[in-house]
Parts: sequence; structure tokens; C-alpha cells
Amino acid sequence: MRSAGLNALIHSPKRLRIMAILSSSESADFRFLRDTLELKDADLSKQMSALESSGYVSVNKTRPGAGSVTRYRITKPGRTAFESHTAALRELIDNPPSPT
Amino acid sequence: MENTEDALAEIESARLAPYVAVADDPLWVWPAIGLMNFVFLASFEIDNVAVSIVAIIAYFAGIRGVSGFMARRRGVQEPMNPRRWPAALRKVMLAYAAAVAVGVVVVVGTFTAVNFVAGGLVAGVWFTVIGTTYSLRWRRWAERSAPSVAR
Repeated sequence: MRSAGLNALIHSPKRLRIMAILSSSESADFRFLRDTLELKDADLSKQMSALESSGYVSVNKTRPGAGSVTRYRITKPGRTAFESHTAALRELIDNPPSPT
Repeated sequence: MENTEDALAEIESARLAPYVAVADDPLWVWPAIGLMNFVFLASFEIDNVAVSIVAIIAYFAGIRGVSGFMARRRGVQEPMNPRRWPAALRKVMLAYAAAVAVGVVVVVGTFTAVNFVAGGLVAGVWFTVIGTTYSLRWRRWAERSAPSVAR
């Protein structure tokens, strides 16, 4: 990553969109993220595991069994990382690096 | 640089997705809430404690049932703090809150001056109309501002 604010974990397009949705919601469930982002279950699970293990999202399962709902929230460190990342992207557009 | 601009565009589009989900709410919930308001208030005209207790329990269970249904259907909850909402939706919410406040005053005035059935009728119609207007304005915003958000 070229800029200090850019975050390699969030920079992946899928995780970037997941973080954008979670940053503008109180919580979002697995089904909503899967359908909105048009991802396969396994792919979304993989992305969410990566974000969860880095402490950027928290997960809550409402009840075990068939009617289980898995709900995700962005954490404070996750919001900070996401905002730094978007600020760094804006900075890249406003002040593009000069060619060397 | 194009990739960076694409990434920012993706972020902006994804950020709108929770609000677009709200715009998909079915309109029948407002007449349902209006009917619950009417039955709840009109039941006090019977002037029977047991009926009032059943009405209170049924009303709050009904509101909770509708809210739970909507939450499950959406799969996402918009931020609790409207200051984090898009400015246009904040205006829609403020107009709705003002209409609710006026409605409460009118309903209380009606059941005090006339009776609970009349108060219930006003509450039923008022909250159906303002709720439906709120949803329709939200939908118009979604069609105008977020047509590219995948749903």
C-alpha cells in the first residue's frame, strides 16, 4: 500500500463494500450482505471471518438451529480503520503521487 | 487513479444499501398500524379495566410483531442516530416526527373533546396517511439517489 492510511485487509473490493455497508448501518445480517453484494455463502463467510479475526466486525447469532440469524456490526477499530482507508483513497485522488 | 475512483464510487453505493432496503418496506404496515391505533384507543370507550389491559397488551404485541417482521424482512438496520443518515432522509424523518407530534396533539384533543372512538378514528387515519407518505418519500429518494444499488 502506497499511503499510510490504506489498509490492505479492507482494500479488497468485497471487504471494502462489506465495511461500507456496516459503516452506514447499525447492524446487517448475513442474508442481507450476501444478497446485496451478490456473493456466495462460502465467499461471504470467508470475508467475514477475515474481518472478524482482525477485530473490525463483531458477530452475533440470534439463536441456534434452522431459524438462526447471523448479524454483524462494525466495531470501533473497524470504523476507524475504514474511515482512515477512505480518507487515504480521497487523498490519493486529490493529491495523486507524482510519477518517478 | 481510476481504480481509486472506482473504489470510492463502490463505497458510496454500498453505503446507501441499508437505506434502499428501508425503501423496500411494504406499504400495508401503515394501515395495519393505523388499525391497531384505532382498536387500541376505541377500546377505552368500553370503560372496562380488563378490556383496557388486553388492549394495551395486544397493541404493544402488535407493534412489536410488525417491527420484528420489518427487521427480519430488511435484514439490516439503519443507524439509530439520524445524524448519520443522508441529509435528504433526515429531512423526511424530521417532517414525519413533526407530523407525529401534531397528530398526538390532535388525537388527544379529539378523544378529550369527543370520545375515544373518534380519537381512535383520527389516530388510525392520521398515522396511516403520514406513515404512507413517509414511506413514499423514502422510496422516491431511493429511486432518485440510489438507482444503482443492487437489491
